[in-house]
Amino acid sequence: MKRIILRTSALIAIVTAIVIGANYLGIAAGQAISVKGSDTMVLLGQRWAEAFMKQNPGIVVQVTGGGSGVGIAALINGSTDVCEASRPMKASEVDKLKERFNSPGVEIPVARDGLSVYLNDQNPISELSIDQLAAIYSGKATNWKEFGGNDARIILYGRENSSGTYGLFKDEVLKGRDFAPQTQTLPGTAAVVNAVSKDPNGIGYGGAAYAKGVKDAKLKLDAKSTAYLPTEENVKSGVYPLSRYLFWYLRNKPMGDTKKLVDFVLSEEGQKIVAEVGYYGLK
Amino acid sequence: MKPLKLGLSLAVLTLGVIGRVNAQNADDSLKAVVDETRQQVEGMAENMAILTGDVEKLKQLKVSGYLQARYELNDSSRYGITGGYDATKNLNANNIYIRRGRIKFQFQPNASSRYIIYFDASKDKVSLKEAYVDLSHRFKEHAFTLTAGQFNIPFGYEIEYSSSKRDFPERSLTERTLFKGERDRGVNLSWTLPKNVQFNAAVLQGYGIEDSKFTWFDPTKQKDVLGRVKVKLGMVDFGVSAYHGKTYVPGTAAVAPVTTYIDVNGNGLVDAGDSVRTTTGSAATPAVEYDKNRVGIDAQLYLDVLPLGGTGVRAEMIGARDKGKMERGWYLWLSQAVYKNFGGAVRYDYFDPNTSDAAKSDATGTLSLAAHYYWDANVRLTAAYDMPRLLKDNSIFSKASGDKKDNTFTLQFQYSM
Repeated sequence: MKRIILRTSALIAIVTAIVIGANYLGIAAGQAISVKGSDTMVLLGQRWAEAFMKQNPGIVVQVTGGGSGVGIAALINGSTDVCEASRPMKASEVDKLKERFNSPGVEIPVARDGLSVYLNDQNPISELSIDQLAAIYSGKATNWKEFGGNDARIILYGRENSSGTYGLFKDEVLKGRDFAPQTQTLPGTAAVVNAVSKDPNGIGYGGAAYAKGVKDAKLKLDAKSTAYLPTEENVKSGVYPLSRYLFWYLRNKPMGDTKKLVDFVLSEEGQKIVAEVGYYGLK
Repeated sequence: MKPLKLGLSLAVLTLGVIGRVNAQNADDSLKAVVDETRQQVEGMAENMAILTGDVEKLKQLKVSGYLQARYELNDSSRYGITGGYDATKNLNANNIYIRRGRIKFQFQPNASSRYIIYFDASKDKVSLKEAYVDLSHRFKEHAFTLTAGQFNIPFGYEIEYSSSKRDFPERSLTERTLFKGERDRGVNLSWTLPKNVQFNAAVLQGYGIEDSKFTWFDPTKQKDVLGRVKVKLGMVDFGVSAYHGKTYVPGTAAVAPVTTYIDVNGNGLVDAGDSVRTTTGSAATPAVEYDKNRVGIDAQLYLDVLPLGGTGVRAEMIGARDKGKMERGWYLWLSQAVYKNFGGAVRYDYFDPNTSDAAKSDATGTLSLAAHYYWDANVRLTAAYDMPRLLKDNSIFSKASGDKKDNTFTLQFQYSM
């Protein structure tokens, strides 16, 4: 028995050494860094990757979307190096990361965003409170005239439940309650903007960077508060009620090429790209 | 000249009328095509809406699970550490088998309720592992979940830690002995505070799902109660658990003494040459209900210091009083991730089934080693070696004279979905 165990152990040790060696050499040789996750951030991630690869021709960065939930799942199962997320990781997701990689993960805020509420240009309404938004998206309020608008049915547009934007809106506006079943689920923020721009009675939500062809509603906490637009100043000062950080998540402290990439994203140049894409820098 | 002018005028007029008629026809036909196309698009949009509704319904049902196919080589002993072997047939046990084949169905139509049913197909049988309903409610940042049915006992750390993620083929001996099957029937209220603090209060049947005698019913009137507090601070997590219940030990009927004649001289008669043997009788004993108390503490530490990957240190200690005796167990478990595709772990697991001085040399200490290779996001290959040792005089490491050769080598292929 001892001999079998010794032989088996030796075989495992040799195979392990070979594969670890190959793995290490692969890392040293500069494998592609994969970045996956939030659809809200995919454009930003691509711009960062393009600029970074120009400066570092030997390093390849691949950026894909799919939603924050998809990116976090990919980080947990080891199929991406960096996860882009427009919401913080949930406690249950951190637990899974701990189980698989013995690490709670590394959270890096990379930008700030105001979550805009989009209205069609023809809609006479220009401001809403969080309570009114909750009534609209939970299905309690169904006609714009309830808020002083036209006598027309409110058409709801929203995101898929894998989206961080969906999660943030559900948590911050609906306080965890369900969206009204008539909410039309669309695959990306650009699709929401497009739908609202063509629908005079439509309402949607998404990152502030996408608000082209629609108008942003001014938002206020309650009826007594002042309403604010999702401008850089209002988002950074925190008076705009729906603001959030955008994150990068890694399994461990960044090293090697990944650290170079993270340093670039947080550098002045990287943060300048944040502003160009339409989000707000950290400083 | 006049007829020519008239002719030309007529020709131009005719051409104009024909042109207008043609243009009108073209407009009409274009309008018809546009109308038809619009109707087709609207039809497709309608079908798409129906399809989207159906897909949304399908997304409410989630299917997950995992399969563990295992080769297990036991040392030359009749005491395999996973237990349950037939001692007469399993000398030098060397088996290929399915240790766990799990499939979980989860239906969640909304955020406020969830239904789960979870089956296991392993070795040669299929069994129900879990079946419960979750009712969830959120009040501001506080989340409440009431679970009713058959579910994981919310005690300590290792019980709820999925076997698909655990480094070692089996849970520690303490958990396997005190919480056999890891699940029970009852209700569990979970209250999660905003700052990652979670409380659990549960009322359970008390016999778990793998009790051979009390398979679904509880002979005690009292239900078992359990409480736990779990705190998650990111790098450090810890918890305290307490359990109180009753264990029923059936009584025995009176046994009369029996006198047997043995026909030594083989003459078929009861005579002086025969021997007589008499067994002693015993009085009836009443059934007894013993206290069943368990207290546990657990802690996990996650470090990110080595350039290889994350390091996890997990420890748990449980003290128990069961059937009038004290039991104690603990484990210390160290895991190391090695880049994305490798991992290794070592665990020392100690269990003393009776801590009294009258029962010395009955504790077991098991050293386990494991190495993993993650083939892809779904497949994990594991090689593990477990070395159980009977310990002398309740010490932690010294080997007792009755220690058996019962080490086990396990090679496991796991697919998770």
